[in-house]
Amino acid sequence: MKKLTSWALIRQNLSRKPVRTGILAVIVFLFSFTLYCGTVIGQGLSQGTRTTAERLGADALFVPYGYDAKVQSSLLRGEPSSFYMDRRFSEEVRQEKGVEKVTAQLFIATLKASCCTLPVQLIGIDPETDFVVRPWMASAIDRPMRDDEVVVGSKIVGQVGDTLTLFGKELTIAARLEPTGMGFDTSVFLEIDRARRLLLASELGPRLNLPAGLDRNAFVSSTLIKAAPATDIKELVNRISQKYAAAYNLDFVVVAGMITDMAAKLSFFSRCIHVFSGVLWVLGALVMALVFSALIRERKKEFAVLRIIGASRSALGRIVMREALLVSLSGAFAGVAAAMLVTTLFNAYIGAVLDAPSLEPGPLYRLAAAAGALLLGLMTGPLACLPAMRKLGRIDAYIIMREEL
Amino acid sequence: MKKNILELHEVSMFYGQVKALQNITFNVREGEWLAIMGSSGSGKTTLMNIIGCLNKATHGAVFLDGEKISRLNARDLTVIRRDKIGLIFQQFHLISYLTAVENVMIAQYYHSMADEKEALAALERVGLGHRGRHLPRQLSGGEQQRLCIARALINHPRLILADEPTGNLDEANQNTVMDIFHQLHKQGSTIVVVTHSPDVAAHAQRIVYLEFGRMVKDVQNAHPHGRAGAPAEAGR
Ligand SMILES: Nc1ncnc2c1ncn2[C@@H]1O[C@H](COP(=O)(O)OP(=O)(O)O)[C@@H](O)[C@H]1O
Ligand SMILES: [Mg+2]
Repeated sequence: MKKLTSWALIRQNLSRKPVRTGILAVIVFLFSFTLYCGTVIGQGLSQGTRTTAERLGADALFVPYGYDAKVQSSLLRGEPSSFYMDRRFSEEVRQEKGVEKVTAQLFIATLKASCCTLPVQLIGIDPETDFVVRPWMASAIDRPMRDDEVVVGSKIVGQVGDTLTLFGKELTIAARLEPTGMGFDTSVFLEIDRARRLLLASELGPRLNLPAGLDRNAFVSSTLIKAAPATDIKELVNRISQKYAAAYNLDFVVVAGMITDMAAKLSFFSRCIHVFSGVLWVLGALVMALVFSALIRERKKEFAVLRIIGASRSALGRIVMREALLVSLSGAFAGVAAAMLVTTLFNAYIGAVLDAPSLEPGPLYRLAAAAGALLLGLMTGPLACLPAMRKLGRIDAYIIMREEL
Repeated sequence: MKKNILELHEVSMFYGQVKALQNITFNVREGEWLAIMGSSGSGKTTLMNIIGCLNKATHGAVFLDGEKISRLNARDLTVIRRDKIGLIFQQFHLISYLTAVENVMIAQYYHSMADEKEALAALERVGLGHRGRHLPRQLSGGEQQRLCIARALINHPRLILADEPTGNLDEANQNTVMDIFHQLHKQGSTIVVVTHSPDVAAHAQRIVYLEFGRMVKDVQNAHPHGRAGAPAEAGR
């Protein structure tokens, strides 16, 4: 037979009321789950945003007026979009003081591609001037792309050597980029002039709605600028837009600002999550406190009997405390385990839903988050049963015995 | 002459205006079997709770095994109760979700250490050796009371204290319980039985009578009921 200890008492008690035990465990489960998910997702997003900034390598982007938001979502999440501006701007701006590098890109949103069930973003890059994508491509391909070749982002389906059909043309995958956590992962890259020719030759070509005055053979989507070291980027961008905005109908995005915006959004998000888990915790603890208080009332007689046969008040306290702990333990463990699974499996999807690039935080961070969520979850039960424990002190065995008469 | 296990000096218990006990004074010697008798409301349970360290008298002194318990705090009373007293109740007060043997072991656990063999032996002694795995609700009233006795005895108490131990039992079961008490008495146990039943009191060597919280008589029972349960005069 099993040894009779107060743990055995507790186990028997918990399993005697599976529904009540289950509800209490679920409360802790939800709390630990939310806390872990919120913390890890928040961290993943802010990490993703930071790396996006680092990986982009550009300080500012110039786009047609009104497309600043579009280019951001395209960069951050690879949301396909198409917009056009004059290529000459990128040549002129190169002369400005404080500008170190300039490159232009052409964005084409395809509606259908053999690779993907979803529309992909085609990005035409200028091999001569590119400083944004090249660092990622260099590791993937060490020769110029041929006319019928593309480089794909890490999430585009297909092996190197496979073909993709874009605008009715079969193109060979020459290389695949490293994962970047941003829109590049779902983009297909090709040489910019080739991309423009492909677009014009496709069924979209005749219907292409270029802004007035734009040369059909010299349009791009965005111009990316890297400032020289120790340049005031804000001042530079202001100067450039004052000079060129009217002529080229420009809008701009300062990358640092974009990241700051994102960071603000993220910190709001993680504050929401933490407030939410805080509210969840308080509500959960409240419900638990009520349940424990009811439980003690319900078990008054049993506790009185235990008192009579020699259990001290603190022994009764330990029984209640351990029950609470055991319930919290199972809830917290299950919650953190489920949260780890969910965040690992759906990390990319979570980023997409939240409109932000997301990188899963490293194992150490996750471990710490798990430990924190576990610990706080674990504390819920014992803390929640503290008020009820005061009732234990009022269990006067002989009075209860009298009530039984 | 054997020493006193229990001494009460001028013990009174007042619940506000209600004088549940007034100036109770008597001693119980080691190995003695005493009945405390009185009608309902005469203060028997109140007295038993004081002797059993479940409650404290408002006045007077109580000595148990030479130790003054009347001024101890609740924590110390718990320890004394656990170590020196075996309590038996009319309502049995068993733990419903523990088996018979576990109900005995839980008393061992809070006393010192659960020992299943010893617990089973205790059940054997009250004739429940074969019912160890059963839950209280699977036992008859008489069996539950025997289980309660086994639990009371398991830690070798100095004093066995029973409040209306046969109040919920039929005659056959009452006899079985009284037989067990006789055995315990023969083995040297000190027994105090609280009862309103002259039949039950008649088994004791000595009877203290309570009326309206006062002790009205303290008499030796010249002819206690035998184990066979032959009717005898209650020694009034
Ligand atoms: N906790 C209490 N509060 C107030 N009165 C009580 C309490 N316990 C007992 N009494 C009163 O004390 C008297 C004796 O009660 P009790 O000892 O239970 O008698 P008995 O067991 O002989 O029937 C009764 O009048 C009862 O109402
Ligand atoms: Mg009574």
